[in-house]
Amino acid sequence: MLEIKNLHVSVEGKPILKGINLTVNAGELHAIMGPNGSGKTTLAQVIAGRDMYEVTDGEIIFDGKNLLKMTPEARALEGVFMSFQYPVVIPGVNITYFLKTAVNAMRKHKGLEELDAIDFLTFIKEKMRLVRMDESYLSRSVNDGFSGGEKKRNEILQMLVLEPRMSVLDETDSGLDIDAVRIVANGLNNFRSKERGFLVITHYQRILGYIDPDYVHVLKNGRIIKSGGKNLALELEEKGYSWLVEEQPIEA
Amino acid sequence: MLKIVKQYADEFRNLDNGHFSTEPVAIQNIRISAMERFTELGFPNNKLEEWKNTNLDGLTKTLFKLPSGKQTQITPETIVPFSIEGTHRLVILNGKYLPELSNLDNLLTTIEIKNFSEALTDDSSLLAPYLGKIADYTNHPFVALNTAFMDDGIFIHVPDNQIIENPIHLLYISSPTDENTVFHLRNMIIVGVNSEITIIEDYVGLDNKKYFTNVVTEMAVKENGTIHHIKIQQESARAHHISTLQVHLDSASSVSLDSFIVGSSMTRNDISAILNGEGADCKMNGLVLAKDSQHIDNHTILDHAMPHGTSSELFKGIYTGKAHGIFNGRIIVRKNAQKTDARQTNKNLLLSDSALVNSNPQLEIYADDVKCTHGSTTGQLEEEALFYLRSRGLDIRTAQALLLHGFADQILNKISNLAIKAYLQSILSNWLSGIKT
Ligand SMILES: Nc1ncnc2c1ncn2[C@@H]1O[C@H](COP(=O)(O)OP(=O)(O)OP(=O)(O)O)[C@@H](O)[C@H]1O
Ligand SMILES: [Mg+2]
Repeated sequence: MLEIKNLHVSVEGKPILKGINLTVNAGELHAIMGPNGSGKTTLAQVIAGRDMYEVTDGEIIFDGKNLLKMTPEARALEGVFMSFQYPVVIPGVNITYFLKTAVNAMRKHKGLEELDAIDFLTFIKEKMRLVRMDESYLSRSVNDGFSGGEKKRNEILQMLVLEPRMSVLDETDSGLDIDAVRIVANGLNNFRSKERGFLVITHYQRILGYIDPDYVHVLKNGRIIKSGGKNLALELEEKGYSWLVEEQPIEA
Repeated sequence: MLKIVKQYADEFRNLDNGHFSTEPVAIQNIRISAMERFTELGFPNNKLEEWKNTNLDGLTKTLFKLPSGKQTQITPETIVPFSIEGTHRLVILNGKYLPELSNLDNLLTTIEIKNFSEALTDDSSLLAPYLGKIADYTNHPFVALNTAFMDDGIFIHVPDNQIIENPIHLLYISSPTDENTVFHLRNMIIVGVNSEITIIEDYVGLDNKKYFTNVVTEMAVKENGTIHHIKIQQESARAHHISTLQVHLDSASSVSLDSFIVGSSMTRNDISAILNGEGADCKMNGLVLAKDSQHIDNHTILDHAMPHGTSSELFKGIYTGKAHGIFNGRIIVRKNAQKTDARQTNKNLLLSDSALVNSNPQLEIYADDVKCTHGSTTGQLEEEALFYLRSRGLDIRTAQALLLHGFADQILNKISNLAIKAYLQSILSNWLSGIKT
């Protein structure tokens, strides 16, 4: 479903990603771990279409389409979703209005009828229950005054309402309390299906224990230096990253 | 003396011999000394610090004539787009009060409200302590010019212990039969002890005429009284709008001054509040929406003269095209004004490369035990916020509109009256849908 081939990315002329090869098939959940500054967020943002990252080589194919040629909104409408490591605070923009606009843009794209205010409220309240978000959030501005954990739940809420086929979650578990990690993991597990793919960026084994990844990759210094099953995460938790030597990038 | 200044002086002399001669002598004397002062001061120029960024050529190269006396015909339908539900409306068309389109209902039983030019004669003793004393004409050329020629406008006097529920909508419509007409409008609002009132001053240009509005509004609020004042400026795109709004606050009184500015080719607003009693509170908010080559200059003063006063000011602007904005926000905390808490924020969005804003906060603090903060930011729409919205499937135009609405809504949301808020929302939506981003 998502194929990343030999992806090279620079920021302000500085190479960050140095040849990433990764394929996520429908139904699979891949975890990406790696030290701070290794390029995980860069990868997530490039998939979502942030234009400050310059792709210098390689490609990203989503369902046979060249993702890199699409605007961020086109990618979203095609079914790519990225949960932000640092969700953006937008004062003055009401969260209900924002979500309704996004959901209806998606429905329109799929040829479905747009939801009116009442139907939307019923719909959104049901999804909010899944991530245990209080209805009072609906009257607030997007992420404005939200705690770190509340922002992350709001990201998952957006995933649940937009129903993407490919979700890239950038440290969605960071900053969540122990119960919230379980709530988010449950939300994610219920959302999984054989049509959907996931790329879960995390520093912690805890969430992986709940969501049971099919693959775990280690990203270091802009390259995937090791890939394995879920046991790799346990090993990393114990030993850290330093024992891993940077292997030559695997040929695509 | 500049030729143009002399022309105004001549015009004044003609009127003084006729039109003004029926007024009380004290009022006539104020006019005469104001005219003298104007001829001494002349029009401001760029050498003056207070006027350095505003070019007045459009005003000083043309003689703007007093209204001709011929009145434009308007019908009740004309003002439908400007009606705000649940308000008492007073209409002033081309500088002249129109009782037939105004609805005072039962207001007159509780408050005094009348055409300002009538009040000059009828209520001169009530006016005397305030007239020309709140808005000082000795140092402000446009106030001096206005004071010499002051004509229609609204006089409101709320006695003590009166809460006026329904807002009063002062609708100034300009559509002069002759181009280059000047309207010297004058308002006075006096609010008694424990009383409360909401006033909307709304300046509307009906068509694309060139004219000059020179308005002075003097307000005084007594102990524990409240004024909510909302100024809406939607003049014609070729109009010049010069406005002086001054308020005196007694102890424990509270005043909110909200400004919404979309119209005119050139605007200069001087908004000042003097917190003259202990524990007074003043909130000042503003939203400027400017495009094309509009020039919008806001000068605000919050003058804390007594202890325990609080003020908060939030002025925002969205500028596109070649628009030029000026925000000059002065906070004065006088020696006696201990325990003052004053906050000021100015935020500007520039949507084009040719738009420009000069933001200039000025803090003058002479007391030592005070809290004073100020901040000013000018920039483009945040790329990160735009990306966040787009990554959720919103196309770029929708995302921009949402962010711009959000930016402006922070000011609109300060208005608690829902009908007024809805009226402003429609002005905002209209403006946003008319700009290219
Ligand atoms: N806008 C930018 N300007 C300059 N350098 C940047 C920018 N964005 C990212 N970088 C650099 O790119 C490298 C990778 O950053 P990235 O955010 O992708 O790391 P990460 O793996 O997500 O780290 P973390 O685990 O701390 O979130 C870092 O060295 C970072 O400083
Ligand atoms: Mg990161």
